[in-house]
Amino acid sequence: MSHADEEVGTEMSKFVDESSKAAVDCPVERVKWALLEKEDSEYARLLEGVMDVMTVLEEDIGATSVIPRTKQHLYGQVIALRVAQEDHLETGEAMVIPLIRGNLSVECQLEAVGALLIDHESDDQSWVIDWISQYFTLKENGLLRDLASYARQAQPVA
Amino acid sequence: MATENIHTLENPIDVIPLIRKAFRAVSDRTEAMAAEASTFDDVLALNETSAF
Repeated sequence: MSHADEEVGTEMSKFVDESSKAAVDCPVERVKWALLEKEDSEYARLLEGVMDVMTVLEEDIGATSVIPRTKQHLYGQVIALRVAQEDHLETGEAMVIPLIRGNLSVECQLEAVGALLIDHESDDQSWVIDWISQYFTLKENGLLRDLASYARQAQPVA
Repeated sequence: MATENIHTLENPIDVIPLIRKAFRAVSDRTEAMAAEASTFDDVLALNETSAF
């Protein structure tokens, strides 16, 4: 674990500890914690959905054609996964991101985001940025590249 | 949120919805591929998308 990871972890743990203590007496904090637990269960459901789709795909690899029943099964699993993903993303956008924005310093956010965007263990450290950037507008790509540049400067290489 | 273009990042964490825009685009493509899958090659292509 890098120094940056430890700092983000420490700041986040401090926030979680304080929020957890506050939840005992405060209804708003209790709701916040309930929603965060919901997010955990949504994530678990998302992983289950991925496994379900992979299972259908594995069963059908080798078949020369896809029979209608299998096609329906596959499509159903993909839609279920899509719904689980959307639930998970919406909870994250409504609950988790505002909490992080309000409780982590810009420096810690930058370190956390840098860990997502820059793969220090890969020969091609920018592969995440290159992959996601194909879906962005020119303006969004500019924002992404600027942020990645700041993150590189802020994050010491482990 | 899925189709919105993002013009500013006031906080570094605001990049997350941007990253998710990519996830949603892949989901759109996967959903369309699953709806159209009728041959072994279609399933193989879908498997490659999911493997990411």
